[in-house]
Amino acid sequence: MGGKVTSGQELTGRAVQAARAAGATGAEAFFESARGVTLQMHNAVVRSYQLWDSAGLGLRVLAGHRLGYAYTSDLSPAGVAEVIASSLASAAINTPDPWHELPGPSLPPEVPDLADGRMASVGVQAKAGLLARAERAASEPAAVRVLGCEYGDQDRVIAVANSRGISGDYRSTSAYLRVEVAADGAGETQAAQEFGYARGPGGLDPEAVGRHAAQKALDRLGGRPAPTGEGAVVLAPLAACQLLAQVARLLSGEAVLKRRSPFAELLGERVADPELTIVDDPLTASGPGSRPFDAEGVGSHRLAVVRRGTLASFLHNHYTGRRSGQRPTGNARRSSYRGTPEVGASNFILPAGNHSPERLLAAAGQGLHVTELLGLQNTSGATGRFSAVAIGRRIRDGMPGQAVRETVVSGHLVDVLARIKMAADDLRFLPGAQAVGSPSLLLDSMVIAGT
Amino acid sequence: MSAALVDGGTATLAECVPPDLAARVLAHALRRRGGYAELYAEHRLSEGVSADEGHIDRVTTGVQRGLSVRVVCEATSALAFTESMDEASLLATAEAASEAVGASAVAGTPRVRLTPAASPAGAVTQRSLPGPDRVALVERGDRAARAADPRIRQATIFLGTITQHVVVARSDGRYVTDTRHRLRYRVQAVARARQGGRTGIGTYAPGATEGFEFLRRCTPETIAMRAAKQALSQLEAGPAPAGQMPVVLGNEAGGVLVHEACGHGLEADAVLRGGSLYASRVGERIGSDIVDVIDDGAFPGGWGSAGFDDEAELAGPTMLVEAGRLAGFLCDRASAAALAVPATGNGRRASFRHPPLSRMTNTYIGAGEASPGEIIAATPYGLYAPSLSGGQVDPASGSFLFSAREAYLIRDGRLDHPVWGATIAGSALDVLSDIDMVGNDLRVGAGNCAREGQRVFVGIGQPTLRIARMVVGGTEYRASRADSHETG
Repeated sequence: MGGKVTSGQELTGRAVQAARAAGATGAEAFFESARGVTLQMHNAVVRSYQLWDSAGLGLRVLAGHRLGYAYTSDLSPAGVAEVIASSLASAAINTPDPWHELPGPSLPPEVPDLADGRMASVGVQAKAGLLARAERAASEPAAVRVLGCEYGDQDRVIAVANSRGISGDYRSTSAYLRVEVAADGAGETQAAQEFGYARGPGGLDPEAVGRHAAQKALDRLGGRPAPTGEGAVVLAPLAACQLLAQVARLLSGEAVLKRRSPFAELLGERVADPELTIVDDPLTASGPGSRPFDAEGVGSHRLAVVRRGTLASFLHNHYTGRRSGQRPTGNARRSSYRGTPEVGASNFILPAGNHSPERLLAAAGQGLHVTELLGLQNTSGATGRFSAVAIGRRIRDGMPGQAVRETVVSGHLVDVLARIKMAADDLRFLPGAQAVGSPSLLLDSMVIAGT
Repeated sequence: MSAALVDGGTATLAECVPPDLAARVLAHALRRRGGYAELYAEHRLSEGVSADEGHIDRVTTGVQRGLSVRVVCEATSALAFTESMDEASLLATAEAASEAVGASAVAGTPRVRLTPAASPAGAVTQRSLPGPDRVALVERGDRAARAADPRIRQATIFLGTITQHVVVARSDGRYVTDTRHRLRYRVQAVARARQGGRTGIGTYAPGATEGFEFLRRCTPETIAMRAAKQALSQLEAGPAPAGQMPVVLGNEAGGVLVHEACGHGLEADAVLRGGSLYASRVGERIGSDIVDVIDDGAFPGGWGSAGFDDEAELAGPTMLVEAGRLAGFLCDRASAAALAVPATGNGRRASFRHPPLSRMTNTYIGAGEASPGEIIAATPYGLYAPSLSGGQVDPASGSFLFSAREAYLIRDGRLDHPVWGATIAGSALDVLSDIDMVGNDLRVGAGNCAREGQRVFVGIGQPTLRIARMVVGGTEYRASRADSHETG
């Protein structure tokens, strides 16, 4: 892989120089390569192998205050020449915007090791073995059928260079297991999935993933709608992550600048309990979203978003930070080399507290224990209102009770932060475009609609 | 942005992978073992212009080009791809796929003969447009949205086109080329009556597998007005009612319901894995007898249309539900073989990097006889939702929840007043049976559908429909608290 790193950095450097030579007043090249494998298993047979080996280049150019963007998967000299011409043609028809500027170099941070060096030496058969173990564990209970099992890994190299002197690259690896099951009960079927995530295949626990998937599906059998009303809610880590992902989305400087965020006027205001802190931490060793620099090449650092209950910062890339009169926070994010730098969290984390999850149920007394939320992507950016189908169980006298179905929880994201009363010690990450980490949370009240 | 690039794409792809080279690559892929090999090459040019805050803010152009080889041997398949189009890279890609499914020994290279077939796709008249003209089209939508009403405070406009050239070659002899020109125009309008007042958001985003001629029939001004009206309706809206009631879905609800609540359960790969409600129910009644559900990969101009699917099968209509009875499933080639039925032209992939899955193309509920006005007039009390903003379905149980983007209370057969925050919930197994009126105004809209990490373009449609009973989750009980946060 060493060769690839050099080539990414070389390629971005050459593309920036060539864009300048072609008339760009500023240029930034973003290179991304990914290789890996995806395996799918069903009934102990690998049904599908997908071999990945992909690379591409995204180029941002400035012609004065006009910004242009183009990308290509064709990294031949002709392909690179074409992407330069296309980006300059884009700039020529864009509106000039004086806030467009490329960032300059920043101090390199101390970065944890993001690559599992042993991943390359794990053969396909060993990876299929992990799947077989997960599938066996999931099909242990008689009522459970495994619908599908997937293993995937990726070895990525990112390189960024710009005409103000930024030039860097890094390598990161990841591996995941996903198991999807159905449980058949009296006259009903319930499905569930579980995943495991690590830097490499050696960090995955296939039995745990399979067992948890089966348990989740079994737990959903026999559900009934919960009674309608307001009640305490305990969010299990993944459900809490789902809700916090929506909070992160509305704390983006882009949403705030365009007044599409209910947090827009709340900077410096009390938004939560004085005990509550939320950070965006790109440098934590365990975070799926960790990286030494962001998608514009700005060096990573830990950012307090909510500090002791006060909204301390929005997330900004270079453009939104400057334009809003705040500071860029190193939160440029690209979906891939095909996308322009937007704003996004790296690892958006609500840190673990020191209570056990059982302690949160006991403190709730009566209410709802939510393990998963469906439909949150419909949360309104302008208002922050959400409603989502809740999967989980009722809480009766501090203990888990009847499973629920056709139950909707609704509320407002600003309100949700203020209602967080306790955090447990079971922090878990939800990987994704923006990784989110949270422990179980107790919310003192939410609107629950069922019967 | 240049026209040369578009035409260059056509020439480059067909010249890169002519039938004789494709035949050599497929033969190489079958040297070890395996009954079937397939090659899929793609050149995709994506161009986008968007405006926000009254001016153009993003102009982007992108090219993706590559080729994958898939080898299928009994129950196992392997896919490898390359982004370098020289012969050595293509043979190495075939080798990698062949190694993944096969034993290490080379058994011998079979002979593969390919017969080219031309795409039956309809003519696209205006395929490309210079950058400044695209900018002008976006500015027209921006002006129209802002001029619609003084309460429209923001508008974002996006015009995107994709020109996708594909070559598919199969070891059973088929070699096809297909070109898909897609265009989408999206307007989002934000309305606010006064500072600190309620915010209304309207989105309208039609798309078609057509050229720029689409925007002469469906103009930027019409699209902008539709989005603005939707946003404004929410300013005057009262709280939504709660409880079980008839729901009339307008034709701009776009068939989200049929796509989510029913379509995914009819994808044959899901059926084969045992994850579908509809497995082994062909011939059974699953809907009321006025309900037909059709998937048509050749629907004229449909967002999910193509000449051939991504496995070189001719695109065309498949009856899924006929007069309320389950008539068939959506099949890619592998699932069709497993179910012993003909392939239906539903083998689709997100890109050359992905294997084909059984996917919807343009899926819709067929038109009936009632006019939309007659349906509302026949409804003493209920909810009318002209458009939905997406939703969520639990595939195993079939329970779903959708949010209405725009909704009105029906009283005494007339639209009484707009309501906001309405959600509708139900169960996929019941909803088709509960349809008791079907309108004559079929419209097929544009959507993106993601499954197993693959995002494909789909048409989703329906005429105006009445569902006799649905659970409407109202706003009443939470209105007071949520309103206090309406800072926008």
